[in-house]
Amino acid sequence: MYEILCCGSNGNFQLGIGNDEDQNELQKASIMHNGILTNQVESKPMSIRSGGNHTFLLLESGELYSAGDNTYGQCGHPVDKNETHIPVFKKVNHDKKWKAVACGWEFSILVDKDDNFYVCGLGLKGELGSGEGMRNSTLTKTTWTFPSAVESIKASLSHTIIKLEDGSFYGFGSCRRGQLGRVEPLFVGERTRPRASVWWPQKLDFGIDVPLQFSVGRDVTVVIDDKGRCHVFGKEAATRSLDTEVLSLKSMWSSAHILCQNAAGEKKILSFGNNSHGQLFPGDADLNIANFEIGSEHGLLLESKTKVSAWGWGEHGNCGKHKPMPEGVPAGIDQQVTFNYLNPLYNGTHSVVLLGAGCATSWVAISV
Amino acid sequence: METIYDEIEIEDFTFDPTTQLFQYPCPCGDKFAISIDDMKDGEDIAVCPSCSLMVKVIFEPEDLDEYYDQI
Repeated sequence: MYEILCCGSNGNFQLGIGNDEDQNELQKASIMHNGILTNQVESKPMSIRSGGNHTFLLLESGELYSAGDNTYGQCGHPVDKNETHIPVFKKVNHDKKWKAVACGWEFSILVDKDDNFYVCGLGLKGELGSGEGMRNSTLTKTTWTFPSAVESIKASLSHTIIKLEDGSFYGFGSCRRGQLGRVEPLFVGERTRPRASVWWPQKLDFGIDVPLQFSVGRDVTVVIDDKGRCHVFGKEAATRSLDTEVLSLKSMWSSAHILCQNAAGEKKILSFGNNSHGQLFPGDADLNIANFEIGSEHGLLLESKTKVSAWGWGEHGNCGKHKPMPEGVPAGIDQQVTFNYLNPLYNGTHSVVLLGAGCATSWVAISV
Repeated sequence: METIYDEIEIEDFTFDPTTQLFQYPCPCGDKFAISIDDMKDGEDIAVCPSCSLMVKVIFEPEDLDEYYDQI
């Protein structure tokens, strides 16, 4: 069996623990399973994805659960004006088996085992990828077709990118900053002006020969190519050369984090971007990095199999309580909410099977 | 002096003519907000009602005219 532990921002029930109080210690998420409220699931948790105030939990069995703000249907459940929030994890569409989910601010994109795409929630900038006429929808199957199967799908605030198994990239949503690469301008009479939104999935052109890995932040996309170059599209566009092997790439809203491995097999996390609240990875090189996950402005690190630490902006309890409170600095609000060191969050006896991080929320799934 | 979390252009905010507020998502889940009248008076810091984060709004005073036209 597995348990899902969580802490952090919870004003809209996005932790799925049955109340709307922020939590600075890990709590067990509650799951409504076959009419019974439980803290345990039989199938292994595969993915935890969060939007602004909603969370999806995907299990290996293909079962998908969600909790949090469902005002616009972003949890994939029917909109009910009397019950706008889903207080504990509730199963989405009992008949379907799901394989992937991605969440933006108030929208979600779901992929079933047959590679059909579904959208739900609110998107005023093309986030639903279903044309200018569809800005708000309950869970709806799209008519999208792609030339090959889906390899991965990632969404941030207001744009989504899909990588296919044939290596091509498709995207939609807000593109004003260049986060969807080169986009045809709008023709207004004889003049052109830059397009602000892409309303249908379109094949993306980043001007890179062989893009391999990608991640999305707030109005930004980061792409690593086959020559080890890291390209930023959007705010603070830049290209950097990485001289190490890249294992994975993830983005906060305003910074990027790359798990690298050198020739000796040593791993480290290379960060760049906004460091206003300790977001850049604070650890040194000799950590035993097993996994990491990245939220809106904080990160989680798994060392060995049972030790999770947090860093970055932790104002809502998402980095736990300071252990210890840093010495020698005045306890102003910035010091209280900044975790510019690795703060222990979970150090138990159970193996951690999955990490998740959302908008100031943290998730640790354990095998019990 | 508290840290400014980020700088955001006015075009990225959503303007609601009823509340006369410019809003933009905050990484905590709530929204940064600033009123158009405060901006006319020279204020450029949008605050979040749920946390301590603040963003600086990038705008020129004449940018506000088109939003006043919506009220």
